[in-house]
Amino acid sequence: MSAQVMPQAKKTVGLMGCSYYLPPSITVDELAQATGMSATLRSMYVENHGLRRVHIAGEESALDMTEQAVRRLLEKHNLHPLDVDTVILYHTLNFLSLEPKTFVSAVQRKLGLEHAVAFSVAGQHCASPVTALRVARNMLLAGSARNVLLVGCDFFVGSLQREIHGISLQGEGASCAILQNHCATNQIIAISTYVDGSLYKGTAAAEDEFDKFDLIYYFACYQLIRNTLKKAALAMDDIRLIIPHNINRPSWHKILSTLKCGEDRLFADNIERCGHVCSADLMINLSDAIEAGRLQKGDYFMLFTVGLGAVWACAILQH
Amino acid sequence: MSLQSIQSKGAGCSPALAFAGSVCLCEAYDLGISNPTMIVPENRISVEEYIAIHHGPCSFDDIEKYWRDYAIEPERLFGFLRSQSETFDLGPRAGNWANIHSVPVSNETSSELAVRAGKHLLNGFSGAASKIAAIIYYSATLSSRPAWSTSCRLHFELGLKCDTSFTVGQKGANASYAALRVAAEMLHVEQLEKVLLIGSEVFAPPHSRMFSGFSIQGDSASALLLGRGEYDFRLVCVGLFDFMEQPPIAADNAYGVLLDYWSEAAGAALTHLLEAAGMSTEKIAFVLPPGCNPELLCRIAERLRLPWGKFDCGALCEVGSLGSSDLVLNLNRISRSGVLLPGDEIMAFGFSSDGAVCGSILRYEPRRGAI
Repeated sequence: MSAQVMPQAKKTVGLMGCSYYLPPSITVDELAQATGMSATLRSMYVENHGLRRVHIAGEESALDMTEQAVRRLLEKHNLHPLDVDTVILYHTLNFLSLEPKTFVSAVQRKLGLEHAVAFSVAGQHCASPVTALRVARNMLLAGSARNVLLVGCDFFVGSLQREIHGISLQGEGASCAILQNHCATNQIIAISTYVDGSLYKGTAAAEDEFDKFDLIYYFACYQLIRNTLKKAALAMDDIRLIIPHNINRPSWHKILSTLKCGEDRLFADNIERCGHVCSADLMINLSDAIEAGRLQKGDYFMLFTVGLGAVWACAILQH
Repeated sequence: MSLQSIQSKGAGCSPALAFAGSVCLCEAYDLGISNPTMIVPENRISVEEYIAIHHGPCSFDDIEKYWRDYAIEPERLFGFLRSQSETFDLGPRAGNWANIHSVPVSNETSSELAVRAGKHLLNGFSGAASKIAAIIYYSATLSSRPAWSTSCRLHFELGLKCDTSFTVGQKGANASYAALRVAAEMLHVEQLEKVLLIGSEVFAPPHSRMFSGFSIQGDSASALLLGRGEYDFRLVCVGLFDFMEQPPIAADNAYGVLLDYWSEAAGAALTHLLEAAGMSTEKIAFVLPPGCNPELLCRIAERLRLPWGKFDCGALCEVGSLGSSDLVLNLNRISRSGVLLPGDEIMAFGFSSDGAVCGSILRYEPRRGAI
């Protein structure tokens, strides 16, 4: 396992802000009723995993949700659409567009991002936003972009098939962030990923492939976090807050215990409130953590997520 | 050194064809392309046969035949694919296919083709595996295994130990150029040695093999290494140009309107690319175009004031268009043709149907052992 860390001298790329949009939600009980989920599974998701709600797009399209999220971000930070010069789309699910159409060009046109070029970074499921962050940072450091808009959207095209093999339930939503060079807020200190591609079939993986995933999951989490901390020359005690994916509560209990880290340093408020919203989890949680005053100036914090595939992804930033 | 180059209205372009452009000037990065590798299936479908069986919107049977391992219910997938494919097909247009007689058709999935391309490249270049710091997969088409991650599969099946493997997409057939750009900046900023880029295209229904009435697209996979050390084509610059106005595919006389649109768009984008690189057209020894209608390419040559003889269109008659594989196909062909001289500047470019033109300028600097 290796971690890629930017040289300290280049620690100038920052996440200026982030935002999100969530469609209405239903309870896990309502989802269970609609899909014929067994009482045992329902109970596991609610009682054991701590999941309560699942966001369902209903009549809203992927483009509607994305527009809402980006407009909120631009308004909040007083940015004009023409200020954006690069758009990078990240997503877990692939049901956004089909060649020759592209979803990202629809986003450009809908939002009037007329000075931006666009493409997507994906293939890592829920870990894709961290790699999008890495690609954006490289563009900014190379000097080929000034304002990079990261945009994420996951859409189930009306399906209520939301289970991930007893691990979690997936919601729909859109998220976004704006990155700049020489940015004083949320500066990127280190980004690292670890890939075990044997689970490349994602939610369609076989039982034994999920067994292997279970077996290596916690060790990979632990190793990646330790490795990223080491490369950033930080200790776990230096991290004020972990911004997690919202997969479930028990897995985070276990990770925190392995790291000997108190639960007060995990921003877990949204596991119950909105559940796992695929690639949007990190930006939803970061946005809410900042809003709730959980980060003070100078605090180090960690983004951590895992995507089926499987990819473990960790980023350390300074608020 | 790199340059962010943005303009809201392209030089010499009609006001309707405003574009955003971003050019990465990477000559000083000292990076180059080696081992351009192609997998072209032997099975063929003739243009006449494809037109005869191509009946417009897909059926549920098509979905059942080609698509597997649904992340969602089959009827939801069908609804999605059908809704996405409703508006873009121009239908067959006799006489526009120029010299294309047949295109390759794969019985394998795009994911399987990609693995084959990766293995083929690595088999021919022992010692590369340990130097590869990242895998980037690129594609225009959606995999018929939508729940799968082809980039993760490549990491697994190629037995590589690099710390990341991801997909660059949403750029149509220009996904290869976007991936090249992402890889170049990753290598430069993170001081890595090599990135393995692999792409594949399988036009499973309802993907249409017809590109805006200009070409018919075949299935394929492609791979290349971008990095330091031994290489054949030094990367001078890569540019992405997004046009805000979509190609007017629904217009009356769509073929003529599209001919105007794409020739104007390509002319403006490539002029900008050359200007950003500080180069004149006289310096370009060869142009590697996408596999599309020579009538359009002739118009582009005229706009750029480039002699038609500099356009290498040989691949077009052989295989038609191969989507995002066109770049590697052309590099593979020209590197074996014997026409290149050290120092020759090459300009490659491509289209994506939602209104983007991408391009790259490369310099032929062959180094021993690279291919």
